[in-house]
Amino acid sequence: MTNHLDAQHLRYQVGKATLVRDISLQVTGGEILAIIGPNGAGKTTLLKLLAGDLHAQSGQVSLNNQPLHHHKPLELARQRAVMPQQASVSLDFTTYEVALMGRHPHIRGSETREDHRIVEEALHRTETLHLREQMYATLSGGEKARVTLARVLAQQTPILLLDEPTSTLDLRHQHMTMQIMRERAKTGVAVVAVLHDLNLAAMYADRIGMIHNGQLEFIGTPEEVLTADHIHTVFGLAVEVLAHPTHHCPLIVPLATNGHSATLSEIGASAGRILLADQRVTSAPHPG
Amino acid sequence: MIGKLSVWQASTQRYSRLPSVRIALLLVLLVILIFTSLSAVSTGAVNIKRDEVFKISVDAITDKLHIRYNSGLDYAARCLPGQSCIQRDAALIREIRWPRVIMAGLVGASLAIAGTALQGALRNPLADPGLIGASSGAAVGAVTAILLGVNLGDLLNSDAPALARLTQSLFAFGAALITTFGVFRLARWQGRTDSTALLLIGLAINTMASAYIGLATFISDSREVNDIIFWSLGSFAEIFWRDVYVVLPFTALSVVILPFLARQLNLMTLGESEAQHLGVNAERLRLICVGLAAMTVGVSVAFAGMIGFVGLVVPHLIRFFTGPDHRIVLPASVLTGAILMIAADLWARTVAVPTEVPIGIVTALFGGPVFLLLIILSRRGRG
Repeated sequence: MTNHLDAQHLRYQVGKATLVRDISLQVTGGEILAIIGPNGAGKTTLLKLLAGDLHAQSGQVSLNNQPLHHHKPLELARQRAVMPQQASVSLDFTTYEVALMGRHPHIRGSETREDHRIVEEALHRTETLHLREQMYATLSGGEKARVTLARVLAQQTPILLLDEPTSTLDLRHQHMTMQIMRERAKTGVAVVAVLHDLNLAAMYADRIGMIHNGQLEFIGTPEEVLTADHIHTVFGLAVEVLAHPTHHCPLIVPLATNGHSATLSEIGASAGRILLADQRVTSAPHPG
Repeated sequence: MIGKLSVWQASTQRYSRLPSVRIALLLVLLVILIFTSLSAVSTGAVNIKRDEVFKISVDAITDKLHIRYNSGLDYAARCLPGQSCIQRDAALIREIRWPRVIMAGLVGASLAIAGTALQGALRNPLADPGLIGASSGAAVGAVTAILLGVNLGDLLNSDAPALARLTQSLFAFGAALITTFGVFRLARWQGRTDSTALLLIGLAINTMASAYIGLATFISDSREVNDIIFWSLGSFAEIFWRDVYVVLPFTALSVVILPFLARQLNLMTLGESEAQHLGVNAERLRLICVGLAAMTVGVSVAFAGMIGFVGLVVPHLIRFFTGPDHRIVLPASVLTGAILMIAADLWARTVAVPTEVPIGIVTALFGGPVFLLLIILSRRGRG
């Protein structure tokens, strides 16, 4: 399985706004590359360029040394799967039917027993098998994200592009998602994931790319990229980088809010306000 | 009653995934279609027993009876009191009833499959062949031909009324294609087609079209008004085999091609880029669906006038029972569209004998309440 995604000098602009300026990066099978950066930095645009949804004004993306647009849509769908930020379905398909759609690039004629087995396995792995006969539209945001993940996994591609796969998930499912990515990477899959949680990126990514104003400011191992200095420059937030107690990775602890340091007394005061507000609510007389 | 229906809907949603269930459902619909057609052929000003219809039809088609048929008006003269009416019945069945019933079936199937394909390809359950400008464009074309008094008969030095109708049909078909293409072109922006824009532009074009038709009615004399009413409300009167032969290939094209795109249409419900990530060429898929819909609907309207609601309601009706998988919804809407249109036409021509109710009124009369009921039921089903 040769899977190599190579972006060279990508530049993308809409009107006068340059969303991505001169970004180059490579991903190969077996590794997880996390893309981090503040809102509006160009992370999603970069992912869309890598997926082939958008075409860069200059520079190009190649998949296995072939420009992306040289691949036919169906051939591309067997090479890379994309998990979108939000996934809605316009008609009343069930969870199982939505996950089965991930098999489309592999199905000729009608789906086989093998396709059903792969879909069930993917639903099981994302802990959504019990939702199989529910209407997808009635699921919660986090459940939808997990079913979408199952659909993407069922596509069985050597490259996975994920746009904030964990943003709607609870803590355990965030780690479940990243563990699945680790398992896939171990089998030779190349993973690119846009993440907001720096600690999640630190724990699971092999490399991290930090994007700011459409530029790739830093790229390297978590230890190289996630320094207090870098985070302060890009996110404008004072943090302390500690060593994770059990993992060999950095642990980021924010120190400040609103750009100034919070003192212990301030924290105490706001906690007191919340407590007071709480009491007001509970002691209010109930009408009727 | 409502509760039970919802439960049944929920359970069939699962079973329609099985190919055997899908085939069984299509077979049931096919039987209903045959039964409805035979009933429609046997009923009318002259009622013919249903078991005779089949035999006479077979005899008539294989031409065992050597029917000499000249015009639609003198068939009654052949059946003198005390004589066998078999010649008259055979002529009636072969030359008047069957073409009309088949045409109703073709137009119903065309509108329904066009509606299903459009709702899928444009990701909008409100999409309807009427909404992308095909129907109203066709009516505008026909009305223009009436207003200008254009007639192929003038060119050929003939005053056959069929030529005037043919001229109007050609104008209708041409205008349907031009309007749909125009709507599609206007909705294209930076190499992409925005589905919402497509529907909104279609809506604007429809408004202009109905204003134009209204204005035409206002300034026309009474003979022209009759023609205009035919185009804007639809009718299957005066349909003959030659008309069927023109419509058949267009309907067949959609019915044969679209089911091959069923799985791609399913993927479109995920969203356009998501479908593309799964290997669907979304822009091409939409072009094929809109193109086929415009052609089949354009040619249908050209012969039967504007018939609303079938293209909108039939897909919803099928999905309510089978779920949204286009592998069943597409073929089932072909059969159901045909069944409903044949039944509606039967009702339209028998309810107020000797006049006929325009078919467009019948479809709206029944389609409206059914659509309303479906909306209420599916809301309950979803809980």
